[in-house]
Amino acid sequence: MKKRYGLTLIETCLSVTLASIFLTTLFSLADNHRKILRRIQNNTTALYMLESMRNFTRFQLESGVGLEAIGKKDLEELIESEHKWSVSVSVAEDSSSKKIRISLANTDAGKPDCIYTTEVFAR
Amino acid sequence: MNRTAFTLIELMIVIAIMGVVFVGLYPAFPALSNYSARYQKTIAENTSLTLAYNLIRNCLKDSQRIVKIVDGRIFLDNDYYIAIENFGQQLRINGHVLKLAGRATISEIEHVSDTMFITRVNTGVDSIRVIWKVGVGYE
Repeated sequence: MKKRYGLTLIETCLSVTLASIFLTTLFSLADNHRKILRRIQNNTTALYMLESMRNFTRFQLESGVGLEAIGKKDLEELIESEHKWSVSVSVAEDSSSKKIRISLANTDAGKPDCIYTTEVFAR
Repeated sequence: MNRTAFTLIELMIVIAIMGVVFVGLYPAFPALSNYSARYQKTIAENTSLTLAYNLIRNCLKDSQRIVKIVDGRIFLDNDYYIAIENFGQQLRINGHVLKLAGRATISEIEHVSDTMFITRVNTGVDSIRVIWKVGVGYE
């Protein structure tokens, strides 16, 4: 029988596959952790920014400004974050009430990562 | 048979042992353990800020008017108060003390009107100005 000096091709392939699976899992875990951290930080920032926007809108309504007059630019001025955020505003009306819907999204990655929404009712 | 090479089972045992050693040494790797510490710190910062948000809102919703703002203390008409202490790292709300974790701070109170004030909130990655209003419940 021929003397064996090293690993066979199948053994090498298997060990390389195992190592690559291990490394890929490790890197994807680290990447997921980074994304989760970013999401947690965005949640907190959005929580406070939406509070600010809601209160600004209520103040405007109390001052006699109509819902339609509150625009995206007014609310964007309240954003002081070092990250990119986009705001959208829409006014909805049903039989009993009229409300303004404010949506906030982090756009650091170019497209919205997570959209946070709040509503203020005109009393 | 004269064997001079590892078998597959031997190789797999070596990989398994390396895995166990790696997991055991995990805290010893500065980069990885720093990452873990940063993760814990961020969670703590954001949890404390969320708690602070709820405490402030609960306090403000039962009030109708800001009586006065003196030395980092906001006095409300129903004898409630919010005090910002220790350079914004601690809040005292109606006697309850909340220490903000890590880089999180709530500071710089600005009196806007008898129903509104502004504070600066540092989340660790962002520093934003937040408008607060009394007499507003959860919608």
